[in-house]
Amino acid sequence: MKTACLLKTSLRTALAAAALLAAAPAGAAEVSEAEVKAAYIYNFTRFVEWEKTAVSSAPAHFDICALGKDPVNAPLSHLPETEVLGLKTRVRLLGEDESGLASCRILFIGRSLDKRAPAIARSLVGRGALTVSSMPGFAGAGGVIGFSTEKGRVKLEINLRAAREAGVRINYRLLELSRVIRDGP
Amino acid sequence: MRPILVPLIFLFCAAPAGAGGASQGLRELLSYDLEELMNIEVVSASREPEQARRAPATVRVITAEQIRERGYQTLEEALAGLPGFQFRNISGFNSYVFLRGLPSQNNLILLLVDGVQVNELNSGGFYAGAQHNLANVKRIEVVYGPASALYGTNAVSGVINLITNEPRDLRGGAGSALAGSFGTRALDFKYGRHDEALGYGVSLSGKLSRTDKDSLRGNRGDGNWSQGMENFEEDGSFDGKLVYKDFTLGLLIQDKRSSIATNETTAGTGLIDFGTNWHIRFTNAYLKYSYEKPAAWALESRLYYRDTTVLDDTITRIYDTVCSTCGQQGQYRPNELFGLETQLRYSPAETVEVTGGAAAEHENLARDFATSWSGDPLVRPAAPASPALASNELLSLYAQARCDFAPGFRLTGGLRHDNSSSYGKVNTPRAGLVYSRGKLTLKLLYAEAFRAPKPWDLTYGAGNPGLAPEELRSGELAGEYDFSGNFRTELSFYRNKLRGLHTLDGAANRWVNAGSIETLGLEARAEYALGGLKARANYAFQDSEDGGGDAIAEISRHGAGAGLFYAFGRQVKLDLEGRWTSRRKNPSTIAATGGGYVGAAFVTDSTLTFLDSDGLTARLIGRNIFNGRYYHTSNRPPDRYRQPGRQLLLQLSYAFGM
Repeated sequence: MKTACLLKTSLRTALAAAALLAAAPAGAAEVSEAEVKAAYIYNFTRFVEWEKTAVSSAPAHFDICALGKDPVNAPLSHLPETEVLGLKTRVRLLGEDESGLASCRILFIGRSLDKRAPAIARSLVGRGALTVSSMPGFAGAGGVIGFSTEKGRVKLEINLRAAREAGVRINYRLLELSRVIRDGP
Repeated sequence: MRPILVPLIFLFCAAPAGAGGASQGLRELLSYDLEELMNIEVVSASREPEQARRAPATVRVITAEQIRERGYQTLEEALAGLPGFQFRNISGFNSYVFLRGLPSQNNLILLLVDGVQVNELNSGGFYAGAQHNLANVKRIEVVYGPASALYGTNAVSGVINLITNEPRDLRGGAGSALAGSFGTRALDFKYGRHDEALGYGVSLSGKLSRTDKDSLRGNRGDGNWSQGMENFEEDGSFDGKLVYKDFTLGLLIQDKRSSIATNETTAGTGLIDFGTNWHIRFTNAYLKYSYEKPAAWALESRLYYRDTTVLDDTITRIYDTVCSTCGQQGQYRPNELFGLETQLRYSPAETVEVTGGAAAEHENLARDFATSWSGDPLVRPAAPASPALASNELLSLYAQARCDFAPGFRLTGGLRHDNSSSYGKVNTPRAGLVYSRGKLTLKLLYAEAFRAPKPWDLTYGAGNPGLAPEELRSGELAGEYDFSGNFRTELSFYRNKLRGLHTLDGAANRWVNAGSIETLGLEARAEYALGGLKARANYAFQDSEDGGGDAIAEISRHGAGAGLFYAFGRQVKLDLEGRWTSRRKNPSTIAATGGGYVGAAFVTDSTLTFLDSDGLTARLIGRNIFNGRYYHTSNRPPDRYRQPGRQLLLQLSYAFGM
């Protein structure tokens, strides 16, 4: 079986090449979906404005909160400090405790609370919180910004009415790159 | 494996895979602007069980976008663009699909719709054809190679899973109408909505189609059929899902009526080749419960009912004679199955995942066709009485563990135990070592599979209670490399050995295990995308021999394909694909040529989208656009099957709310 011999030789060559390739540097680091979402949340501090009347009195920090369990929590906790409204940012991982949401200016609701995400978002109306979640249809259900994945890329859905009710204004640059939901359900 | 090594491996697996603090990836991302973030391709912390890249199998996916761009109307058209697939299209009531060098009656491949089998219960084979509503398919996942360690019997060459849209995928509706050559016409629709706040959703889709197929009358069919031959196919399908929180109720009904004239030669036999009607219906219903505690465990439980029945208005033959066992032959063969399967996935550590499952099934299968005769070729027969049924039970347990024991490395091992009241106990293992980091993915895979005998195979003729399942062992080395975000390549080498083939021993008048098929194969694939241009190419080599070293019939050694898609603008898009297969040995001498081979074939298809605006789309689909004349092999009279000539179809679609 001449062809079989050729195939076996090709197989040995491929094994050797694969070993070489595997030993080579891995190249660009793999980027996880969670890290991209954390980077987006970091960018929200630059492309979202909070109405001064919506911010609770005398806060010491600009809190970026993560409620529930989610792979995003890990990279979120490593975001560098920046400044918003003259306040230094602080990342708080709240676990499942919904009692400490009052100070949150950005609230990311994790996958473990997907089912409650719309209800949590609606409970924060008028309290100056930008609510964000990966729950499918979150923006349509009353959240401000929803993450979705299309063709391996993380995309945004923004609910303008929910943003207005939350007391935040979304920069046009962020709106241009997102799917905008003009009216809620 | 010695017990001491198992906990050590888990210690390695449980250790954190990387250092603390912001990763290099995150640090880079924070310097990107919004547009750059939008274009980053991610490794998804998936809601779905496993990425194809890290799965311990070669998995190839056909997306909904590809189905639309390439104008695929049937399952075979979609599979033909993948390496390793070959076909025996009898231009009749079914089309047979071969994968990785193993010819069969479609009973070596499992076909699933949303994870539930649609293989015909009695024969174990699946039906290709237009009854699969590809307009509502989100993607087609093809798992190459043996998968009995997860799915049990018949998952020998591979598994094809048609994944349909969930209610939340649709958020609106769409419909299309199609008409064209050979009297082909079709209508399809889909609609879905999901209320996230209330946690319920509904989706519906359906299709009706009919074709008269290309003529095989007279000389076009090598003189096997008359000038009055009828060869139609009518398909209807409906599928619906009702979702409420963690529960999904699903229903799939596929109904196929077709002429069965091409199943045998009628010329000079006294058989009439018009008026036949093979009518088969597939019904799947299931109730599924899924619960996931992220990064911890996930439970899925499914209660299901399957029915694959050749309905009692089936006319399989018509003899042009009047007598008590002549005229029109009616047949009826009911089959049904009830099953319950539960699967639990658990992650005791970030780098370890264990999956365990159990399935119990009870089936009632017809022992044989029930038959009735009209006695007169012009008279329809009475519906046959119900045939005798055989009941079988199956209890299956399976487990799989995977461990990320070093950066980029994943080890997976699995075992399934089947205990059947008809074919006894079978254990099927599998193992895979996957390295995936950066641009390179390598897989080293081993798996086994089996195809069980049916109860009547054991009692046929003189009987053979010792008839064992056919068994396959497979080893594979596969690799994938992303040269850039736009260009990726794949290469697979595999060796399969199928042994204990079910062979009819004429002298002893019983089925026996005899014979084997050994296949050495290679598959290569490349894809490139830049702007509006997408290009693809594939090549497959398979060398299949029997135990005596003779080439297996019906398998081409070489197959290749290439395709180009270009979007001229938003409105106009063109897809062009060519496929070539080398000549194939035929099981019998072909009377028309005097030779033992069907020749090599090169076929070109094209799809032109010339309107794509405000939800309205128009497409012109061409199959075999250069009207090439080519044949498929045959394992029964007739000697070979002529394939359809040029076919042009016009499709208009409208989508709203999506």
